[in-house]
Amino acid sequence: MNDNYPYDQILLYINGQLQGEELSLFEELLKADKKLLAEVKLNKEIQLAVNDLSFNSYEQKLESITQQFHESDKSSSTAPKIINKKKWIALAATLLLLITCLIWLIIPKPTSEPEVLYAKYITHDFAFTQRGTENLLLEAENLLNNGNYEAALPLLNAYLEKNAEAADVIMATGLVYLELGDTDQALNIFSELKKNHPIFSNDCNWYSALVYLKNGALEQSLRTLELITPSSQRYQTAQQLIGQIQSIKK
Amino acid sequence: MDVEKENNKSSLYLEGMLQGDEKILKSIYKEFYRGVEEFVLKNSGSKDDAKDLFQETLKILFLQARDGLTIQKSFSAYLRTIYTRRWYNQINRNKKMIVSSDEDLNWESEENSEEKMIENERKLLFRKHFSMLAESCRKILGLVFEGASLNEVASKLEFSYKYVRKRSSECNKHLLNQIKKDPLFEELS
Repeated sequence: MNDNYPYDQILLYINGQLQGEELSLFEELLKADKKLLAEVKLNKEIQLAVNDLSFNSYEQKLESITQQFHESDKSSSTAPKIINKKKWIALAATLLLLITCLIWLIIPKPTSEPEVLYAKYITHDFAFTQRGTENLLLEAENLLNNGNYEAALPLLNAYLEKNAEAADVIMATGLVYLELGDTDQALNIFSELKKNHPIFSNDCNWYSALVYLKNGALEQSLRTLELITPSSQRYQTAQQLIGQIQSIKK
Repeated sequence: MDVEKENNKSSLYLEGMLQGDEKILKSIYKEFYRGVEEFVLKNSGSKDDAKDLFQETLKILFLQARDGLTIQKSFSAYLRTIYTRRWYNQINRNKKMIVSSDEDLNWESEENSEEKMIENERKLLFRKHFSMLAESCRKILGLVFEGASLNEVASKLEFSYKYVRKRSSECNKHLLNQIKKDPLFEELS
């Protein structure tokens, strides 16, 4: 995928809302770039698929019936039943399995899954540097610390429209995208921030490494963690995580 | 049950699906869900997998019915052919082994061409990835896809025009990216 494609213009073009010089330039681009043309066609197909009204209504009904069906199924399965011999055997086997699981849980063992490691290390607090009476940021901070990332995002972006260089706010935006599952966007933000504000390099490397870890790209995660300098507060934790990732790889 | 009765039942079900008739949909669930669940559980799946598979199968059937599907034989057999093929493809996708023969579906209907089937599968794939977007993306792109101008979206959602333009671009790029990353997209291209 070409990161430089004008994705907003693609949408406007499809909707017939691109005008004047912008339209002429876009049409010239389309003539010259077959990949862009394919991107426009795909976008049109997606738009039609999402905007299929009769299918939307069918899907909603199906969803509601599925829910009703499984709820009534659940309640009927919780009704008391007479247990026969076969079921007793199954129950005993389950009990045995449960005991085995408990023993397994009690025995200390190294964390092994990338996702578990990610969950263990992804912690962050949102506290912005005070900027006079910036209610926007205070509100965003509250929302973020309450986990309301969706609501905080427009506030952060509105703030950045006027203060494009506010590095800690840019950092927070990257974390918000990470929380919302848009890891590509989060990585882009961390990468740009690192370029423009080297003071944030260690933080950006740390969170980028976590994104790679989450996506299962262990090698890339290790390489990024190794960029964290010994002077950073994150250095010790990064070294610890490097060890744990290496043990997974083995 | 004789052929005529089966035929009538199939038409009734397909018609009911097209009408969004809740009674028909409920009886389809009641009659066929257990079979799907049993099949999935026997083939390394979970109850949640069975739920998803059954829903996807009913969505595909709706799209096919809308394209003029007529089932000449048993509805049950046709349903089974769809879900078993989908399930085997799903579990084999990582091994790059695709159950490619559509002949078993063709005997049922001459009106659902392979091209149409691919179109329907692509539609489901696009909708799945759209539904997985962050809520703000779904809201903005949803309105844009309906044909609203960016100014209208900005005013409706109480954002600035600049933010809507930037965000719609990011969301659109992310959506396209996620779709292209899905192994099924390559299969259907």
